[in-house]
Amino acid sequence: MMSRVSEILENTKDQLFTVEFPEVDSGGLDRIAKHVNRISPWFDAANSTDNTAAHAHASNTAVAIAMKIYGVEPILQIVCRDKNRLAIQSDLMGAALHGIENVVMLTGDDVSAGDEPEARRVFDLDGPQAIRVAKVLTTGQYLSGRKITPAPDFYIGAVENPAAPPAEYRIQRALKKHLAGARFLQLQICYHPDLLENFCQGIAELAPNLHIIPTVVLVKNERSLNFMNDKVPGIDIPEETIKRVKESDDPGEAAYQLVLEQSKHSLSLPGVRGLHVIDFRRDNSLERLMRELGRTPKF
Amino acid sequence: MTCPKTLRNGPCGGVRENGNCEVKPEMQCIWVKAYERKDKLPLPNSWRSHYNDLRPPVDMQLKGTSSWLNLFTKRDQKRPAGWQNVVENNGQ
Repeated sequence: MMSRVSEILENTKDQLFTVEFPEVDSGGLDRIAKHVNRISPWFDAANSTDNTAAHAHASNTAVAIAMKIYGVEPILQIVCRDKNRLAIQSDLMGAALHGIENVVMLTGDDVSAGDEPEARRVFDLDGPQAIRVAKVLTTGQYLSGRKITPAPDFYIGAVENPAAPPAEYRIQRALKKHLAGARFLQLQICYHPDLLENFCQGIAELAPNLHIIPTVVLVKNERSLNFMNDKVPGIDIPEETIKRVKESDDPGEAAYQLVLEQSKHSLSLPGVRGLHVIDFRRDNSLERLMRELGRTPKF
Repeated sequence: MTCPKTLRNGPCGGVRENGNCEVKPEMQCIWVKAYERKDKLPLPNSWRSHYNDLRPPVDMQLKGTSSWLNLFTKRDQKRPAGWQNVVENNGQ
């Protein structure tokens, strides 16, 4: 078995388009189907998030399995905030049991970013260690050395934030994750084109086999930009970028144009193999963005 | 361990624009501080490069024990067997 994501990245020159699957709380599989209908014509795979921004939701693994039932290839995200090394390994093995191969291992936001800041933070592993643990499982053993036969097949990814200080160090950090076992990187949303460019340039030179997937986020207006700037750890948006949207005659259109521009710029950078899209607008702009980037619907 | 997230492998993606901690906005990220200090202090280059080593998961059984004793007895170098096997096959 080989996932579509690994097939595209490892065996073709094609671009990979992934999307963040909206978080799901209730409503049964009908809710999953509704989201699937919107995204599946346009994307190769979708990320199943793990309690995004430290808010509890239906579990990452459960949603990934549900996506698979509806024919969407999942990329399972696993963060280190809520689970110790035993729970992380059981998430991975449970996913493997259902034929899920793409996994992205990340440290995750702190509990203080969420609506239950009084919770115990776990971080028994950190991001680079979690990547290595996924890699250990693929060699047919648990972290303890206990054998697994047959070994699960994971296509392991990581994340990196090209704009977080020390920005010049982020290339080395991505390489560390690559050495730990990551084959591709989905990047944090980046509103500093120069930092994104330096990062991609560095990776392309030092690790040409590490595939970069930058992220863009569709928002309605400057209020969402302000929210991300203030509340989301690791996202910094320059004042002039927010102003450009706010002072436009049509802020909705200006916010869209910003994303279109970011997408085109990202896709033009060395080492970049595709794009990851987060859609907070949930209107027709997701389809518009895909069309204006030259994508044709699969059906 | 000053990092509120107890991270052992460098600065997370939540570091603020001013280099401060995601969890404690008033505190400089300890990994940012270490990054700056490793270049500023007169250290051998081999020590500087340790900054980027992949450090294994912490052995929680050692909590509350003497780190000096564990250093001398090399108890603190014990790795989970699965981790160790991959390190030996990978060379890192």
